[in-house]
Parts: sequence; structure tokens; C-alpha cells
Amino acid sequence: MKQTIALTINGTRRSIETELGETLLEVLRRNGMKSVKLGCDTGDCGACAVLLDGSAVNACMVLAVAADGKDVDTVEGLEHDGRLHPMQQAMIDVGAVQCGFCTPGILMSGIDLLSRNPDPTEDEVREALAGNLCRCTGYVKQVDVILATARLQAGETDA
Amino acid sequence: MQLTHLHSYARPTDLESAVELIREGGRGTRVMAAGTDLILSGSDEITGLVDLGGLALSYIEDRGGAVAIGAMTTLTELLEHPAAAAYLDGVVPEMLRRVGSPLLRNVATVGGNLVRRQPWSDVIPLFRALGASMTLFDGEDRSGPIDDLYAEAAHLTGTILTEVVLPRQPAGTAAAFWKFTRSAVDIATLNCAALIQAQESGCVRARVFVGATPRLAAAVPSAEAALVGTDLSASAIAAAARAAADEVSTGDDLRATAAYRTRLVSVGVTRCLEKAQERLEGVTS
Amino acid sequence: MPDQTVPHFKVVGHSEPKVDAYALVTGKPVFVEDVDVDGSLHIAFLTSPHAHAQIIEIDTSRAEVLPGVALILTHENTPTRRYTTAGQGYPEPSPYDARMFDNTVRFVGDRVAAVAAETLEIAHAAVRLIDVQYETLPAVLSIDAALAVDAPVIHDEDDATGIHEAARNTVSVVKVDVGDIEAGFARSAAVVEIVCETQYAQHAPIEPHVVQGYLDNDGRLVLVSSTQVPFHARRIVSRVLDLPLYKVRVIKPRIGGGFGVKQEILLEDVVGLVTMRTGRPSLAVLSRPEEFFASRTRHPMRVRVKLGAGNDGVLRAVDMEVISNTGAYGSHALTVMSNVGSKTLPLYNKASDVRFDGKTVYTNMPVGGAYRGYGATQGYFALETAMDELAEDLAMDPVELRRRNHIRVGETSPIFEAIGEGKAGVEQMVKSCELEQCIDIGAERIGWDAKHGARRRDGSWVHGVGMSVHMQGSGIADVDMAAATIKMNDDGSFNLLIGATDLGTGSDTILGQIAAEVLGVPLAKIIVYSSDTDVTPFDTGAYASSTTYVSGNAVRIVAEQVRDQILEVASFMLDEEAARLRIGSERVASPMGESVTLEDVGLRALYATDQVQIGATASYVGAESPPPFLASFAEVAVDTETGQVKIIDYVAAADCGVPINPAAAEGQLEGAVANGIGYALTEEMLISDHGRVRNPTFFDYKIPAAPDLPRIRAILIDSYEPTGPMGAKSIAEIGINAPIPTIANAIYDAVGVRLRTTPFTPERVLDALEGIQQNG
Ligand SMILES: Cc1cc2nc3c(=O)[nH]c(=O)nc-3n(C[C@H](O)[C@H](O)[C@H](O)COP(=O)(O)OP(=O)(O)OC[C@H]3O[C@@H](n4cnc5c(N)ncnc54)[C@H](O)[C@@H]3O)c2cc1C
Ligand code: FES
Ligand code: FES
Repeated sequence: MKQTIALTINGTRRSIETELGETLLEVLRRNGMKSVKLGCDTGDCGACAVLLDGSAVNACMVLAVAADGKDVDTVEGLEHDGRLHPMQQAMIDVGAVQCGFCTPGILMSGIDLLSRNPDPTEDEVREALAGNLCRCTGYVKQVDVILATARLQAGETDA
Repeated sequence: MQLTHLHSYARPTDLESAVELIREGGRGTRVMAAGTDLILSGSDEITGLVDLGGLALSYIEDRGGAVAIGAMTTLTELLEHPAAAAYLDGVVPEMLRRVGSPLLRNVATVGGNLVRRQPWSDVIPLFRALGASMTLFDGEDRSGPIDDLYAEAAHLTGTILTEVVLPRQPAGTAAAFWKFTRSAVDIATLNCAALIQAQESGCVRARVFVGATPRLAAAVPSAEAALVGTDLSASAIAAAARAAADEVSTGDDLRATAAYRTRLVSVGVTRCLEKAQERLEGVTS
Repeated sequence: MPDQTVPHFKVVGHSEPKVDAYALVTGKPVFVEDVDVDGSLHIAFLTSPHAHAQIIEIDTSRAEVLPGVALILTHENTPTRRYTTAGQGYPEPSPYDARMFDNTVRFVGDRVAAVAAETLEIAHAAVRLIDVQYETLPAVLSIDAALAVDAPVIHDEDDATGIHEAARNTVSVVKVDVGDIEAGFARSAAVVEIVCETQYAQHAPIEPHVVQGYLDNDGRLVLVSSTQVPFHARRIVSRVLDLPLYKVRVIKPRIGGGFGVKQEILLEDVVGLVTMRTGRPSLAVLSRPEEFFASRTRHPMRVRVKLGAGNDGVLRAVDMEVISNTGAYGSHALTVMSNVGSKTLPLYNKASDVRFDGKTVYTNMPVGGAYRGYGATQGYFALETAMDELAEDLAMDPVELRRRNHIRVGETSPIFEAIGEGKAGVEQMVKSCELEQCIDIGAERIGWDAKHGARRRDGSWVHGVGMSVHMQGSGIADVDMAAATIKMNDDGSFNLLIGATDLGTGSDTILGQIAAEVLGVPLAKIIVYSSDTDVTPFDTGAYASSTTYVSGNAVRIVAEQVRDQILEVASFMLDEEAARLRIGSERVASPMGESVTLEDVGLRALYATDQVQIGATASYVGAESPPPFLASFAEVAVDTETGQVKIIDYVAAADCGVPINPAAAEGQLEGAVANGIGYALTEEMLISDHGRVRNPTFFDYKIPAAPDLPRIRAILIDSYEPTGPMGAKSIAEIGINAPIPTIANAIYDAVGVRLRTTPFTPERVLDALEGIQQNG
């Protein structure tokens, strides 16, 4: 059974056809959001994380029809006016990207964290990444990226 | 695609229509909260879903010391809410921080967790230890203790859990939650929740629940009995832990053997009670 | 910097941003499955529910008529040529014991059939409609069962080759004797002997195996694969499908992690056959559960180590016996087992009497394969735990015992030559080694002197520290070969084409840095492309820690050739002898201070006078395999009531020569240590009595998440490897070997129990603790 739903993906409202039983992950990928990765399909790896109405969720754990009318943000929408989001830039600068398969999901969790807690401790960052598995890095540099972004953003708001 | 046989989906905006839709839908129709468990099940039996997302059941209210929680409230919403932080030294967020990952908590609902009755649920033992009550809707509101959900014959077809209330606790009450896992994000190898109430005379009320044994959390009456009337000293706690280890029957699964779980029962009950006792002293002193 | 001869580099030695980082952080469609291929069929597999069975009948008729099903492959309609799925150099040292689809299934998860259909849902539905009648056979589910006198024979087929003794389930055997081992023990003042067992573990790259196939406009088969070994994949597909090699093209785009499991040809053959038979594109992706039960694992092993030393602590005799379980097929069976000895024993080269006795057996269990560390991981558990015990017997600090025994610059070990990979090894002298410094700095950072033996208590938790030391290799000497091509463009930029496969390791960046250094340009001017069998030159692939060293040397050589060509052209332009010209800062300059830009050179070469494409291809074969070194230290806390182990601090101090890109090298070390910590504490594939994997999901099989780990402290101690490109050695694998023995030794320091079986689950630790209490 197909149904048409409305999703605002990265700020653009789109009308999208979905099968009732499909997850948001499947629908987003089919509609070009390839940053949303499938690593497990069981809510355990976080490679599929997106922001749903501003909160980071596993897109494989959300039924697409249930997201009807909501805002979805993915890594594709982070770059503005040719400028990367500071967390993306920090990922590059710090050397926190290895294979990069987990990176979009980590960015989503990191952005969610800083929206709730602009000045997290290292432990809080680690807790925030608890649902994002990375097999390449050991998390050291990814944690640093999020801490550095928090500092940078704090500096911007101070100024 | 996860739910390949799904052919109807509805998001009603009032409870009456929701119940009607469930009844009309018949066997294959399920109530859906966030849907995480339903998606994971990938079940071919699921042909229809009634999404509770349109029913305005997502709220948290402080009702004079009691905390009312709409069934569709996400675990994150509850975790971050000041009313939860204020309730019994924050025992609810203490538990919720150990549930899944933030990505999961941002969608999974309190109602879904309670109704799903996963034997390793962390919410169930704590909410039962706290003596939570609930409201069910099956055409009209029915109230009762959440314990009713876990009675042998409990059966929710055609019924919607709408609200859970954590009761206002008398002065001199403290609670704690303990969970043992293999890694940071894991379901419990064993979990434990305890509530104690003390007066001058000593402990007047104790509730101890042990879950993931690997069966569903259950009360441990012998441990509770071992505490009531005592001064909650280390030896009283040790006696309660021994009673629990004797009483709670444990089993094997891929997380642990029964023998190891039995050892954990004793450690978990002890640590849980010790923490509750510390909180009690913090309150009285 | 310890070595004053290390030259000053401009690009090398700097943490340049990775060349693919922008695409990755912006989520560009760079992975195999990110590019939709119109009209692609989807492939699903039917796998064996039995550990060992004969297929009596297979009826696909109900599945065939399901609308949308395009093709069903079974043993009845597929090529029967035996091969190995191991993507190794030719001829592979692994036996040819596998068929695309066989009429005998040998483990739960063995392929029975594949369905290609219009959608994945239809393919799965069709899989459920295939009726198979099995006759179950007795199954072998442990090393001991495999070696039992009347054990069922797992590979009784007569067309398999390369098996040492199929009738005894023995895939491979290696025996090496140096000196006289018994005499060595007789001369020793202290002797310890232990047996350690390691578990089934899975690589768990977050991107599973995935292959997209299609026919190009000329009817050639194109396979876009998440592979570490595109050239081996091409060769093996060509062999299995009996397709001329020139008809096959393998493209490796970005890879979402490999760790060895993508050194295996698991999907390319099926995708290739579906596409050839149907003429349509086809896609196969392993599900996470399939990744666990049907792909490859780390070989579980039983390793016995016996050490003998004098009162001075210097080793006299080292005896190592290994039995490796390769599961149902002999993928990497010989070489992983060989490496248990070849990558560990040379570290302690003072011992004059050394024996290695290894064998690999078949069982009806999940299949072993290459996994980061490649046998050394299993070997170091036993060796480095035994060293810790030896130190205790000698009443010597474990750090001091290592200092007295490890190999040093200018030294060699007979083992280098005695054990190779499928053939004899290569004699070599250690030319760079800063292990001593690694040990000193690591010990200082962890606070060894204050903490060792202190057993600090914190409630029920007791703290302890442990350490271990390690070496690995840099490629397989005399086997691994790499080639690189550079061509110069009109603007003074360069294309670097490499067969080496960046699987997330950063090797494209590192190889680009080497080229940039030689050519005197910033990294941005090197356009790196890897790997495509039609376009890039040959490379044996990304494994055995070979890329930086072997491929790096190829890049260095070709860059030098191209530089010389540039100087040649510039010498006409500047009217100066080429030998007197210098390249740098995107210019060529004469001693007189005159200069031309590389753009001038490029334009002249391509458009003006004596027109020529500046460019070259060069290759390199590692004549030796210089070892990187590592000293590893951990502080743990053990909960004496639950047996839980927490890693409080972890220091890994490594000598990888000159780190071409320090951030990338640290990342390799941090990641490897993290993976090793998971292997030490939580990761274990649990196998049922029927041979079924009980926990094939991330829900049940726990790899470390961020809160599980301390801030791993990776420290790079530079040395200069004279045979390496810009002084570099490898770093990718070594870190994974360390956590098991380091943590085991730290647990002992904390609570006085020795763990012999991995992983060190709370239950195992508590059992060991209570064992101690019971015994007094
Ligand atoms: C990866 C992962 C890790 C997890 N870890 C933990 C953990 O550590 N601890 C823990 O406690 N839980 C854990 N969970 C469980 C998680 O909390 C559940 O997924 C969640 O509780 C289900 O919530 P949901 O809102 O998605 O429910 P749904 O999937 O929508 O529903 C679950 C069931 O309850 C029924 N239902 C839901 N709401 C109602 C209602 N209001 N009235 C009547 N029936 C209803 C549905 O019909 C369905 O049968 C984990 C889950 C996952 C996927
Ligand atoms: S793919 Fe969604 S959590 Fe792994
Ligand atoms: S960088 Fe590879 S999984 Fe995280």
C-alpha cells in the first residue's frame, strides 16, 4: 500500500510516495539522502541518524508514514552558502574521519547534543555518542571534534 | 521494507476513534507508539497500525508531588523534565540514562516500554517499585495500578494506555535503580529497583523489584519483609540481599548463566538499597 | 626526535586533511550502495540451517514462479570449480576447498541458493519458497572434536586441493625448530608454561559487504565492490565464473571499513554470475546478521607457550604450539596460523632455542579469515601473558623483563627466515626500533612505578596496571607488490593512480603526501584515484599492513621518476643541467636563482616543444617487512563483587617509523586499540550446540561504543626506517594485538587471577576470583 506523505527535508517541503511498511531510512535514501547509512537496521549502530523535528533519531526505527508532516534534517543540509557546519569542518581539521561511514550519524548526534547542552563535558559527549558505533576511530578525535565545536560556538555567542 | 504486510495506517485525533479503529482492524491491527518494537519485529502478522501520535498524549505534569506522564511521552522528554529530576532525588532520570542510547530515547515512549513488557525493561521495575498507577482507555477511562499490566492474564487488545502517574511519596521515602550490563548500551543482564520508607521506628515500607532474571521484573517479597521493621543498617540490607538471592529464580541466556545472575541479585539488591539508604540519610540529616 | 638523520619534510609528517574528508563529511554518495543503478536486481541468499548436511534435493519451482523473480542460483546450475574465497596473491596459500554453491553444506550460514529479483522483498519471499531436503551429517563443533580419531571428515570431496590432510580435518601444518628446545629449557632457571584460548570474533565494519554489478556498453562485467583487494577479486571472479580476466573490471569506491573481512570474495562471484546470466545490473548486500554468521571471523585458537629464562631474565627457550580453528573453509588457514609465530617470536630474539608447531583444523563452524592482527593477536595473548608470569617467577618487574629481551636495531631473528606466508620467510635485520623509548614513555604516562603492585582499592573495585610489547610487519616480504602511476597535467597538478585500496585508513592521503613531498607541491595538487582494475596499476591490496610501506615505496619511486622528467624539461627551459636543479614550492629552480613554475613545465611539455606526457608507472616489491613496535599499558579496575572490568586509562606508544600523517597514524592506533579492547572484554560470537551463531546483531554482540572506552592515548615515537618511504613503517594492525594481554596482566595486578580465555567477561573474571577464594 502506497501513501503520499509530506516531509520537510533540509528545509524544503517535499511530497513523497512511500509504502506503508517502509522506514524513514529507506524513504530518505530513495529520495537522494545518501548520507543516511544502513549499518544494522535494528537501532543499534546510529549510522542512519537524522534529526526529526530537531532530535537525533535512528531513521531505521521510524516508520516513514509516522513522520508525515515533520521536519527531517540530514547531513546533506548542513552546508550553508558554501560553508561547512563548524562540526563538519572540525571533523576534517582534527582528522576524525576514517572510513566516514559513521560520520553523518555522529554529526547528527553531536548537533543534537549541542542543541540541548552547549557546554558538555567529555563524558557527556561520550554518552551522547552511545548510539553511534564507529569501528575505525576509537572515538578520541570524534569526541574532540564535538568539544571543539562547542567551544567555537560558545566563542561566537560571546562575541 | 520492515513491515511488508502492512496495508492500513491511521493516526486518529481522539481516543474514541482510536479504539474503534483497533476493534475494526481486527487481529492484525496494532497500536503504535513510536513503533520501534513493531518495526524491529518485522512481523508479517501486522497488517494495520493505529498511531497514537495524534492523541496529545505527550505531556508531563507535576500534580502536587505526583508526576503524571502521558503514554506517548518519549524517554528523553521524561529524562530532561524538571518534574522527573525533582522526584525522589532524580531516580527516574537515573534509570532512563541507562536505557538504550539517546537516539533511541528520543523516540521510544514510556507507554510503549511499559506495554511491551520486555523482560529486560528498565522502566517496569522502577515504576512498579514506585507504585505507579495508570489510566487505560477502552471506550472509557479505567484506572488502576500498573501492576495490573503484568498480571499473568493481562491482555490489552482494544485498550490504550493513556497515562501513568508516579504517586506523591510520603516524607522519608527514597528509591534507587541499579542495572548491570556488559557494555554501556545494552539491555540489562540484571536490573533492580528499590523503594524504602522510614520513620522514627525504622523501615515501614519496602519495595524491591528484580528484572531481567532473564524473566520479567517481579517483586521480591522476602527481601521486602526482611527490611520492614529494621533500621536499614548494613546487616539488614545484607539480610534482604540474601533473601532475594534465595527467592529470585534466575535463568540462562546469552548474557549470563543462572548462577551468575543469582550472584548479581545479591549485589544488585545490596547496591540498590545502599543507595536508597544514602538518599534517605541525605534527606533526614 | 631520536634520529638526527630524519630529513625535514614539507608535506610528509604533517596531519594534512584527508583527501576524501570533504566528500565524507558532507555525505556525498561515495559508497557502493549510494549510487543507484537503474533496473538493478536485488540478491538474497538462502543459507544452511545445518552445521553439516548433504543437499538431497532442492526444489526452486515455487520460488521461480513468484512474479519478479529473475534468477535462482543453486549448486545445480552454477560453476563447480573449487577455489578459495581468500583474496590473497596467486597462487593463494589457502586451499581450494570452496564452491560457489556446493551440494554439501558445512556450517550454519553456508550458501545454499541465491535469488535475484526485482526487489529485495521479492527476493526474500522467494528464498522462503525454496524447498530443500537435507540429510544431516555428524557435525564437528570444536577443535578437539575435529582432531578426534574417528572425527567426521569435513572436506571429503576429491576435487579440493591444497589441504594438508583432509582425512584428519587438518588444513595446514607448520613446524619450525631452531636450536634444541629441550636443552634450552634444561639450561633455564625459570620455566613457565600456559595455554590460552581465544574466541570467535567478527570484524564488524559498519558498512557491510556490498557489491553492485552491471555490464558496460561493451558487454564487460563491472563490479563495484566494497573490497580491500580489487585485483584479487577480479582474478578470482574470472576463475570461478570461467570468464576471461579481460572481461572483468572491479572498481573500489570509498569503503566503510574492512579490517580484513573485505579481503574475502563473498559476493562478487554471485553478483557477477547474476549479471552475466540476466544481462541486468544486480546488487547484493549482506545483512548485519549475515555479516556475523555467513562472512568471516577471527580464527579462534588454542595457543600453548612455554618460556625458559636464566636468572638474568634473558630468554633461553621459547616453545609455541598453536591449533587454529578455521571453521568450514580454509580461508587464510595457513597464513594466519603461521603469523601467530612469525609476528611474535622474533620480538624476543635472545632465545637461542625456539620451536613453533602450528596446525589449522576444519570444523563445522563459522569460517575464519583475515582479521587485523592476523594471528599475531592470538599469539601475543599467550606470549605476553607468559612473559608476565615469567617476570613474577623471577621476581622481576615485567617492564624490565621486556627491556632485557626485545629485539633491537642491528639484530635479527632466525624466525624471519624460517616462517613466511605460504613459503619460507625472508631474512632481515632490524633497521629501526624505538621500542625502548616506547616502553619508557608508556610506563611513565601510565604511572607504572607508582601503580604496579599497589592494588589501590575503591570500595569493591581494585585497580591494577598491566603492559605488553609487540611487533608486526609492513607487508609480506617477497610477496606483496604495488604499483603506482603519476601523470602531470598542464597546470602543474598531478594524477596519482594507485591500485592500493583506501578502506578508510587514509592511505589515499598518505600516498598523496608522499607524492607531493617528492614533487614539491601541496597535497591539493595531487589528485588521488584508487582503485579500478581498468585504470589503476596493480596492487596486491590493502592487508598485512602493507599500504604505507609497499605502496608508499612504489609511489615514492614513481614520483622520483616523474620529478626527474620534470627536471629534464626544466633544464631546457632554464638552460641548466638537470642535476643542478631543485624542485619545490611548485617551481623548479636553478642554483642561480632562476626558476620556472611547474605550470610552465606542464604547458611546455604538453603543448610547446618536444611534446611529451610527463608521467610514469613504477612498482615495488617489499624485500623485507620492517616491523613497527608498540608498548602498551593499561590501568584497569576490577569489581570484585561482579567481576566487571573497567579500563581506566590506556596508553599505546608506537614506533611506526616516520608517521607520514600523524593524525591518521594516531587514528589507526586508537581504532585498533578500541577494537582490541572490545575483543578483550565483550566481543564473542556465541555458537549453539547446533553450530548456530546466537548473537548475530549489534544488540547482542557488543562492540565498544564511546562511553565504553577511556580516552585512548596514542603516542607516536618516531624512528627512521631507511627502507621505508620517507622513513615510514606500518601502523594499521599492531594496536589490536595489545589490549588482550595488557588487560589480562592488569587484571592480575589488580586481583591476582590469571585469565586464559577471552573475552574477560564479568562472569569469567568472577569465576576466576572465586576459584582463588576456594583454593585458599
Ligand atoms: C536498540 C534498542 C535498545 C533498547 N534498550 C532498552 C533498554 O536498555 N532498556 C529498556 O527498558 N528498553 C530498551 N529498549 C526498549 C525500548 O525502550 C522500546 O523500544 C520501547 O520501550 C518501545 O517503545 P515504542 O514507543 O517504540 O513502542 P512501540 O514499538 O510503538 O510499541 C510497543 C508495543 O506496545 C504497544 N503499545 C505501545 N504504546 C501503547 C499504548 N499507549 N497503549 C497500548 N499499547 C501500546 C504496541 O502495540 C506494541 O505492541 C530498547 C529498544 C531498542 C530498539
Ligand atoms: S541502521 Fe539504523 S541504527 Fe543501524
Ligand atoms: S570512521 Fe569508519 S566507522 Fe567510523
